[in-house]
Amino acid sequence: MKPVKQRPGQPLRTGTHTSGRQLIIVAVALVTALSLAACGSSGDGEAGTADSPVTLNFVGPEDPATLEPVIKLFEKENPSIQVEYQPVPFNDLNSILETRLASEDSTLDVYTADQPRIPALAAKGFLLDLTEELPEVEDKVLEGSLDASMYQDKLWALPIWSSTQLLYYNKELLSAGKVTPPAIAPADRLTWEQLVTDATAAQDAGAQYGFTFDQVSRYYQLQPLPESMGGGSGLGGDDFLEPDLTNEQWVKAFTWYGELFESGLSPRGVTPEQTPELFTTGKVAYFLGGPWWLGEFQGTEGLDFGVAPHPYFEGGTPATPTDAWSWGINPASEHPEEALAFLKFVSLSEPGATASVESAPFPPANVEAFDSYLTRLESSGEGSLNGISDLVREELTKAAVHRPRSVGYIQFETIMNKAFEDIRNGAEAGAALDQASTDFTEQASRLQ
Amino acid sequence: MAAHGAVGALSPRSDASLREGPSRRLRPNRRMQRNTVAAVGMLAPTMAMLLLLRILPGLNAVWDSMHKSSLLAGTTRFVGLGNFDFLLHSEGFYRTLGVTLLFALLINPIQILLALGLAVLLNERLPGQGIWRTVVFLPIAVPAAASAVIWGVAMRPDGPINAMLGFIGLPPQPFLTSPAQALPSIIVVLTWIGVGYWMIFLIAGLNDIPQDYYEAARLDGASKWQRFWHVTLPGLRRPLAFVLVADTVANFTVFAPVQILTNGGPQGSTNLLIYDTFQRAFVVGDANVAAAEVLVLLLVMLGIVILQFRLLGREG
Amino acid sequence: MSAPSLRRTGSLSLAITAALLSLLPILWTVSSSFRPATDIFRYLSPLSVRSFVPSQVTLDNYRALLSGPFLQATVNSLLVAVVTVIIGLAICASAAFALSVIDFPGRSWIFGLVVVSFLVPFDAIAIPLASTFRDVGLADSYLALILPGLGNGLAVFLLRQFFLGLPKELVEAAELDGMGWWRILWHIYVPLSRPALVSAGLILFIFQWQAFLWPLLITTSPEKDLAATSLAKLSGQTGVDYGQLFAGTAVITIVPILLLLIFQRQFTQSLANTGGK
Repeated sequence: MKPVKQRPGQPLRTGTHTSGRQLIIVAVALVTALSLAACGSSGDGEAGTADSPVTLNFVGPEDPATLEPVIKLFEKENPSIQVEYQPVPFNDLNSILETRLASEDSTLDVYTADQPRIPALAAKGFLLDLTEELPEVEDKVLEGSLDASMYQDKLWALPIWSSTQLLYYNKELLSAGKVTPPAIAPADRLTWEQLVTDATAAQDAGAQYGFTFDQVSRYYQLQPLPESMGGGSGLGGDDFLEPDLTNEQWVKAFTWYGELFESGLSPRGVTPEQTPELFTTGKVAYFLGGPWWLGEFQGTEGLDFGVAPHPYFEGGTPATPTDAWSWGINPASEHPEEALAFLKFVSLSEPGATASVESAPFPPANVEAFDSYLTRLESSGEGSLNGISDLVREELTKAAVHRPRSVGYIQFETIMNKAFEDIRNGAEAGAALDQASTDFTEQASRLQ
Repeated sequence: MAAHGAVGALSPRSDASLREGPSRRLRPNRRMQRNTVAAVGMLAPTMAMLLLLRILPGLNAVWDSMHKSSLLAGTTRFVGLGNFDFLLHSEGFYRTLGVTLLFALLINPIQILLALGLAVLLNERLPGQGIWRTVVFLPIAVPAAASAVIWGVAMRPDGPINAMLGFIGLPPQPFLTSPAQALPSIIVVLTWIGVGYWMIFLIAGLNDIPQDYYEAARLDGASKWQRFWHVTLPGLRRPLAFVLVADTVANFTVFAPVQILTNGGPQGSTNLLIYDTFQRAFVVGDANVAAAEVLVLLLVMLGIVILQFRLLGREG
Repeated sequence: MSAPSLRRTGSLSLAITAALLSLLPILWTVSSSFRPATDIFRYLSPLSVRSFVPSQVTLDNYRALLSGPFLQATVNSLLVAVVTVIIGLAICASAAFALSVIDFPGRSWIFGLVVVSFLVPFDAIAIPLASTFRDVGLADSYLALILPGLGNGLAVFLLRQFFLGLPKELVEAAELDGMGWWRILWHIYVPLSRPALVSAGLILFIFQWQAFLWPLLITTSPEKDLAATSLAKLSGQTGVDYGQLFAGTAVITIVPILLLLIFQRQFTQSLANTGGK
């Protein structure tokens, strides 16, 4: 290194060009990266043509393979619109949506709106008002699904899918316990009491467990329990913001629920993601889950199963879970017309709705597509599922209980799920429900 | 160093100019100036990152904690300490605070003692030393969510750990389904994940202690324990201080296992402060009280870290 | 000679025990990744050899996983982590050096800021930060993924601790030679700090390797997903593909291990031989 001339009083600078070189490298790297980053996507507000299509960004929790058929079909019929689907992990869907919608992210056009959350989403200004489309929508979708997409008499999203639950049973385990398999006709619906008796018999005869819910300790799955006894949904008042959890039926229903686990009939510590395995590996005699499990169960070797209606409490009324997904438009979207066209295609047209359930497990909300879905369902059993279409129709139209239309639904569901899990793990039902009441009142006060 | 000779030729002259004349009074200022310029250059990128990406958003949290945004009402208004007041009147909050402090009191000593023990053990000349170290380090490389899932399955009442207990004649344990065992179970999971990671830092620290010190102690007739107490521990003071502070902070801010395994239950027995904050911010959408809670957590951490700094002596 | 070798045996058995405890859950995961979907939970209990050794070995999970976006995601994670380590080490080491060796006004305040910065739980500020990034147009970019990992208060703290332990005579000798601060850092301190730099590099690497929430919030295109996000997408709403999940876990875990094996030697270097101490 050359000697550096130093003038008196001037600090000796010898290390400059080494450190300078480092800094320059870093700076160049950052600038390069920055300019690459700036080549990010940004939509323009102009209408698209086949040569420069408008791209819709669509966020949802589904596997891309599920939505591929319907997106392809839509793009074929609408060459000026492209749909880019951005899947996000299911457990993080709400966090991501909250963040992007609250920051008015214009790169989000369409998203999946969980129907019970629509009141909160609408009230927060996260959904584009679609009430103008109501006349067109009304007769084309199932009534329950339409109701679930509305709030305060306005339409906020278009219904796409619905849901229900079926009682699956393992024929081998039942016959080992000398239990008569339940019939599939809604008129022959089992009572919960009878189910417990039968499940216990199967367990005594060798089954590891007698019964399990699919979505254990989740409000979606358990709401029918107190509803069946006439105890209501747990929320009351004009706006469904007052907890009604400590009435006699609620306490009774959930004492019964806790007893299932206390007695060992149902397992503790198994998460909803792991319950289907109990059924496919022959460890549980009865499994209460959605029709979407049919495909997997039918494909499981060595599993001989049947299907029956969702049970109800003796002396009460049949009640089944329902509601699933509607798709909505972000008010900050720059392509609302195209977004609406996409939603209408999937919700209101029979080919669109059918394509949406081609590889998806949910019953479509579109009336015509629903009929063909039921026909396919019945024939998929090749005789073993005769009567299932009547059952599903009955469950969706007569026995379904919708979740309360409350802007505080998310808080409610979070608190209830915790309470249910505590009861499952041994907490006394009355106390847990009292605590949940207090917690929800506290949360609801934050909503004003 | 070739430069040495060249620059060395300047030394007498530069020394002279520093010693001489009127510039002597300027000397300390000049030096300070030169130091400050260099320091600024060295600190600028890091401090820019820390300010922009940690501290400013943290200040944002302070702002959030003193306001209340109601998306329903469409307003944001200043509420001063209202959110803190809400927390202090929420009985769940005290439970959360209690659980968090109990958790911190248990997990930090356990993890650090284990890490220290493992570091000493795996730093001795043993066959397969590299392999043992790598294997013990392995768990930190597993994505946290996956670790939680795996342990969740292991601790199922009908799972393999209970099966092993049954093998040796013990009754099956409820683990994550019991209010009494859930927190210890979470501690086990987090310890499994992190101990190998902290061990690595301590091993590096152990290797910094000059062998001569051990030789000298051995010559003085010190036993293994005495050598550990009087050579190893003092020599490990700085790395140990680092691990203590870093581990404490990590344990206050980790929530993936709680989120996946217990959701704060059963009966709030694992409802750590950071998890409660996350629930409020992300699930319930109440960013304001969540921000207030984060500040409480920050204050608690700050207090404990300052205490730890005091305990382990000033670091200049 | 029997006492020391007895102790050796004792130490060895402890080491093996520790290794086994660390390894068992991972072994189970890896062996499950080779099982068909229906077998994963079948042999949980009662415990048997079958619990750890699959009765039917299949590569289906790996095949499905690697034909999807996961491989790209792992490469992304590696890219982001490596860039973070390289740039992060440079800026954190410089900062640590300034905070430990150079005397300048306000030094303790700046160090205080550094400490506060790693107390702020990153996940707690992720949301407002994501909005800011979106506002300045940095969303959905590799830069956005890398930036938060560069300034790491903990790494600065670690390196400062280490630098404080190096004798002041080094600096004094260098200053006598007329070396400026940058040269002292680069030519004297850095060569002596390899184990500390590797430790700091580890902190930076693990920060990015375990990052989940931030990448989730800031990226929208699936091509920019990191490994942990890609793994999380396997947990759908109607069931989790545990086989693929475990296969992905195995892949994600292997990478840092390989890196650690390469850098192992750096830790065993003792400073007793490198003058000045």
